[in-house]
Formats: sequence, structure tokens, C-alpha cells
Amino acid sequence: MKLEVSKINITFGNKKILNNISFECSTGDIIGVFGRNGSGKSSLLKTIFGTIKADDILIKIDHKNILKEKIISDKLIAYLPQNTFLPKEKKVRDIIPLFFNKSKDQEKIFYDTKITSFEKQKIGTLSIGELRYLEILLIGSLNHPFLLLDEPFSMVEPNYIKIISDLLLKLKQEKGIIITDHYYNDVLKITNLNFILKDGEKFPIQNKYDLMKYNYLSKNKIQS
Amino acid sequence: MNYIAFWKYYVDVNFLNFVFSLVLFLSTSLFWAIINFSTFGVLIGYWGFHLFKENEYYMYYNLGFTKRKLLSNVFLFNWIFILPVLLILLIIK
Repeated sequence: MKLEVSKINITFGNKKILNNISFECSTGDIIGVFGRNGSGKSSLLKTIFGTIKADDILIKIDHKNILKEKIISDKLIAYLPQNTFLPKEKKVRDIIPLFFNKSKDQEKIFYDTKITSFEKQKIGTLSIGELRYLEILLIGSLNHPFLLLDEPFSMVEPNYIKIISDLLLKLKQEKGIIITDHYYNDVLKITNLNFILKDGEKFPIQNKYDLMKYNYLSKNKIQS
Repeated sequence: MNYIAFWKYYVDVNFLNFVFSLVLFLSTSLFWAIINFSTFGVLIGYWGFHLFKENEYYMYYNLGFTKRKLLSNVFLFNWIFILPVLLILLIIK
């Protein structure tokens, strides 16, 4: 499947956040979106998902125009926000049936080796890595053909960054994924296409030296 | 519709609604408490959810629920549950 988003224009007050941004994401793609804080990365994802309004946006899936109001109700795109969306007072094992009615679908999550190790814990007691993994596994196991992830690696412990990366590489076989995060080394390891948002414009990125070119990184701060 | 997920939202929104309606019951009458529970109280509960659990909306969005769909279903189910009680109350009166 192919997601085409075009003519994205977002203005906050007098400030133009995104200026005529367009791109495509197909099944099998993991697209990395970089940019400094306030460059419009999260706004871009939320606009595509439909939770914030854009001045203009055109969304097509498989060349068919999609009303932005239909993205959520037709379950076309799943979205991972920066902050957790799971109820903190619930146990992991009680969350899974909220997402999946069928026991066959629930078992896929219950029997995941990582989930088994913390299924009896409450959401509020999970480490950030466990929580992000659970969230991505839950929304990634839904039938939505596209996945938008806002900072999935942020504050996550290194072993879970690897686990989440492996999960995303598995999920991309059936989905198109768009990811934004400041952990550029981890993002660049799994993406096949990247761009940076700067001054409302979009510029292609091949490697971390391009990130330096657009002043996202300073020369002495490049991670090995 | 995913009824298990919706039921969680229903309970969360109606918790504050119930407390507010209970206060109304104690200070006015059962009739006004019931009317409140099915109308204005839902908006109080909606406001409370917005205030304390705003980010949980993303769970519902991912499950295909819009805010409008969630709220209209809360109203619908409250009226379904409350209407027989209200009718009995009116008949008794």
C-alpha cells in the first residue's frame, strides 16, 4: 500500500511551521523525520493522523483521496504519541483485551517473550523501554497499514532500543512506518528514507553528515 | 465497535458524572440527579477526562474511536440505562 501526503501547510499564529510538505510512504518503508525542537515534526505526524488541523493537507492511500476525518474512524493509520497513552492504573494483562477482542489476537501479545516478563505489572510501574515496546507492539499488531511514531526511542534504555528496532523491522514487512526521534543513530540504522524539517521546508537526508549540513548536529557532537 | 475499550471510557467519564449526580441527589431530588446524569453530568465527566486523562484519547483514536463517537455513545448508553428508571419514577409519582 502507498500513503501519499501532500500540500501540508501548517501555521501557528504568524509562524509558518510547515510549508507545502509532501512525501510518500509505502509498505516496507521506514521513513525518518528529523528536525530541531519546534521544527514541526510532531505537528506533521499529528496532522496526518488528524488530531491537529492543518491549513491544507491532501492524503491519498493507493491513489485514492482520503478525507482526514476518516483516518481514525477507518483505522488507516496508527499513532504513537510522545507521552504514554495507556492508563497507568491498569495492569498490562488487562490492557491487551482493550485492544484485541479475539483471544487468538490477544495470545500473540500475551505470549510475546518480553510481555510475559511484565504482564502482571501495572503500566505505571514499567520502565520506559518496556512501556514503549508494549505500546508499539499493541498498535503495531492492529490492522492499520501505516504507523506514525513520535519519539519511540526517547529516554529508552539501550537494550530496549535494540528490541524496539527489531520489532519495527519486523512490522515494516506489513506496514509503512514514519518515525521521528532525536536518537538519530538508532533511527538511521532502521530507516530507508530520511528527511529533515528546517524553516518549514523538507530536505533529504542520507547520513548523519547531512544532519550536520542542516545544522541539526554540530560537528563535534556527532555520535560515533 | 470494541465494547471492552468503550466500556472503560464509559466508566471513566461517568465516574465524575456519578459523583456530581450523587451530590445533586442529596441536595435536590432523585429526578434531577437522573436528568443530570444523562445530560449535563456527561459533559462534566468529559471535561474531567480531558483534564486528567487527555493522552488516553490516543488509545481510543488508535482503536477507531473519535471523541465525537465516544461522547455520543456515552450519552446514548446513559439514556438507555436511565430511561426505564426515569419512566418507573414518573409512574410512581
